[in-house]
Amino acid sequence: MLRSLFTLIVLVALPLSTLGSPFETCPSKAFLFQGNPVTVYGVNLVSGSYKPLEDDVGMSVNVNGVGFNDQIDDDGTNRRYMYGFSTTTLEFVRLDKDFQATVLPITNQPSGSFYVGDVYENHYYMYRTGKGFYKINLDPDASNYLDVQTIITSPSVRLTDFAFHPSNDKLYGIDNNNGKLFEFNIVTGVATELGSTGETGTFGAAYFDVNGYFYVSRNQDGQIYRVNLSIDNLSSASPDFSAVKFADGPLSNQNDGARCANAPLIDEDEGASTIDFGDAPDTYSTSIAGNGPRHEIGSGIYLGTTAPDGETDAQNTSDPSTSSDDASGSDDEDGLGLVTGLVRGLDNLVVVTASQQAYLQAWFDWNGDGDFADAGEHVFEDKLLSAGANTLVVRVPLDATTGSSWVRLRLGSQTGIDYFGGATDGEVEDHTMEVSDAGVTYTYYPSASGWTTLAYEDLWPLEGDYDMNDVVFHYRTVTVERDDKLQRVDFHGQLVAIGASYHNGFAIRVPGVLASAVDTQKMRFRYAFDGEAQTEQANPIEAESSELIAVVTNDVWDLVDTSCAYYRTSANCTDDIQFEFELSLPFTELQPAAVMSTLYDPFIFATPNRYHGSHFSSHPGREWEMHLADVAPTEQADTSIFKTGDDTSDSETERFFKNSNNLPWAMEVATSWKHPRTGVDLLKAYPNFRNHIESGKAQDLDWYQEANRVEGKVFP
Amino acid sequence: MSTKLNSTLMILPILVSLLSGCQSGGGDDTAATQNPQTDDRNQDVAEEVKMADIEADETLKFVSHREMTLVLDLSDQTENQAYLSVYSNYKADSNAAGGGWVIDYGSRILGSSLTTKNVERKLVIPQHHEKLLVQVWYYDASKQPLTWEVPVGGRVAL
Repeated sequence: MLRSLFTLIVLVALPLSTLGSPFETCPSKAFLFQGNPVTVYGVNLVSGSYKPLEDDVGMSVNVNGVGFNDQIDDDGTNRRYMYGFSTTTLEFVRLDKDFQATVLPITNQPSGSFYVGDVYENHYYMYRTGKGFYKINLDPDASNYLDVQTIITSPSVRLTDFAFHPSNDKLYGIDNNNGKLFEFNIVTGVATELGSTGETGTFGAAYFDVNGYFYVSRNQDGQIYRVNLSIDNLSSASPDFSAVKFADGPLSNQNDGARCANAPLIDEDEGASTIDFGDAPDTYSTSIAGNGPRHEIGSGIYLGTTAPDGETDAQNTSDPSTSSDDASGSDDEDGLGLVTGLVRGLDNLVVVTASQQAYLQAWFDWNGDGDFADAGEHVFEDKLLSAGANTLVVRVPLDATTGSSWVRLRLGSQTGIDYFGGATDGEVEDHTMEVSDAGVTYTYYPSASGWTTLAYEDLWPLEGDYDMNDVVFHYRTVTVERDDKLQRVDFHGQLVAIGASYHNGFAIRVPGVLASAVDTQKMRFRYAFDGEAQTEQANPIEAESSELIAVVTNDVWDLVDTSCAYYRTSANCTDDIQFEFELSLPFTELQPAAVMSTLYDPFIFATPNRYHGSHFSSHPGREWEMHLADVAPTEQADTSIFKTGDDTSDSETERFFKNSNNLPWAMEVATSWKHPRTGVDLLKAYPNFRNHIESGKAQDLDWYQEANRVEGKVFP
Repeated sequence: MSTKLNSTLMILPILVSLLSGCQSGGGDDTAATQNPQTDDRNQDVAEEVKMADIEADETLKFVSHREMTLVLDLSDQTENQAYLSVYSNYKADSNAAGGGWVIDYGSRILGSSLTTKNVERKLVIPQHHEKLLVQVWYYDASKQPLTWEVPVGGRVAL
């Protein structure tokens, strides 16, 4: 009796003890099953790279028709296993997180082999053209557990894999013969043709990501295609189901794929991304949604001298000249030097730096239409670079459009890659470029990618507390001159801090130039919020003024979103910088040399209809202006505020916005300055500033640099 | 975040400042009685010199850049057409191509298409820079660029 009880315990316990563990997460990688005996590969769909994960699943068989069951029961039981069909032994198997196969005995099994399968809500669905479409309940508590149920017999669509959509209960697959996309109803088994993908072949592996993109891997050439099956596209009146080349993956004659469809393509929870993206506007195909260029990092192949960092998607910047798609804060976009500019009609030289020998692709948007698709724009094709700096010749077409545009470089071990799509190694860099005629000069202040800082105190005409953080902007100017006259001026900015609850606007005047001088057809004014794509803004030129004044915003508080009382002025409130702008003001006629400036005139003004202190009996609005020291106010200013409070402005002597100690309400600091925290006196944060001022700026010229600040007193 | 916040969000800073009792050194349009601060102002010692105590020369503008003039005589070169660049961030590297300098091209201060051999350019430079790299490239891939490291300030003739 005891012995038989012991035997019974062993019999029951043995299967339990050999049960492998389920997957702990819904992984972002795709699983590819190839060969006999089967090898399981992990595929990075973003780049196309793959590596073997397991070559011994415990059975010497081919496993096909595999699907991932992303199921956690209500009681917390984890059922995240993969299920598939052994085409060698014609058995149904389950794979645990270590890819070890366990045979599950199914009842009412149809004859023959199955290559097409996927899992949805505890049910395995399998399909064979001309044979049948079946489902198997995977819930051990169900009465029909592991019983094969027939949905329909003799389905006609020629499939080699299908996959479940993450947001509906439909299966999707591509007919290998004609490239048509089909949607399968899992209750009725009815297949509905949705349209042509434009691609044929044996699509032996199919996957979804959480956004509804459908990926198929073609056995013959390993190419991974993507079809947009997002709910938006599926419900569109004119959906586009064309398959676009996404990456190059492994090829095989026995292919099957499985993926946890609820996982994003790049999962931040799995650690830092290993993918480098470009950062041009998305019209150039940059983001993952736009099938933008992507490179898996870590191979040692990169542009410039700094290896790229990983990102979860493209960082479309409103500030093209920074070209900083960096997640780490270090600018790794350093591979391109436009050392002769890009002058029309000339054989210009560019210096491209490669970390090691590799192939370069480069595209120049010569006509400035926002893509790299036009004839003549793929300038370097499979160009083999050597390690170090390579000087290359670029002939700029005579009919190229002058002005700002973009260039894209891709470096890697692969040839034949396009301006979009994944790559298994290397780097992509997007840079702005300026196409000009001979004789044009660009002056950047403080530099092409650097920032100066504008810091304002807003209590004027009353003395503030000199924490210099009521309104803080990063700022850059680009002066474009031809024949010693002003052709265009560009402004870039970032809102860095708001340390006051008064509402202030921010504007820029170009002194000495009339508002009517601007070529409004070519003018550009763009906002970008929090790394999102740039958005075009309405004409910012102040219609009421004859002089050229561009109003960047009427209220800086409209541009940020914070849970704190103030924005980025307290060590407890470290929001990221959220707002950037770009303003380009070309002129219909060249403007005289005298109007060229370094900063031009950036100033703040009181937001109309907003309280601005008890000094005023009514809301002062736009007429309250505050400029850098000794910069005259605009024609809109109410100069009757002069000489009230602590102000000592005097139009006669051209003395403006200073107190009796000659101290200002606004400063320019020529770096990405760390402003003092709320209530911290400037001298507490930057002690050397006192000597700098008292020496008449002769000493401590670097008073604002990192080495000279008191870290605990500045915003981190 | 969307381009325009709705009015609820626009008044959020005011509401939060009321709740937190945090007062700005700048304008503050709340009338609430403020609680003791959590910021650093209380650590300021009364006898220390503050900004408000110092007196500046009346000519000071409180900007942090300075001007210089760059003069180039390229008359010993055969070609007129060239390109002049000035950079603020670079390092010497004898292994580097292009004259032994590794250049941060994002630190460009000037990019100027030259059509004559006598060149004069006014530059405005952040005052903390002490040296700049000046480079002239000709439209000839077989020719090395002319490169000079120059001090910032005044009139520099090359």
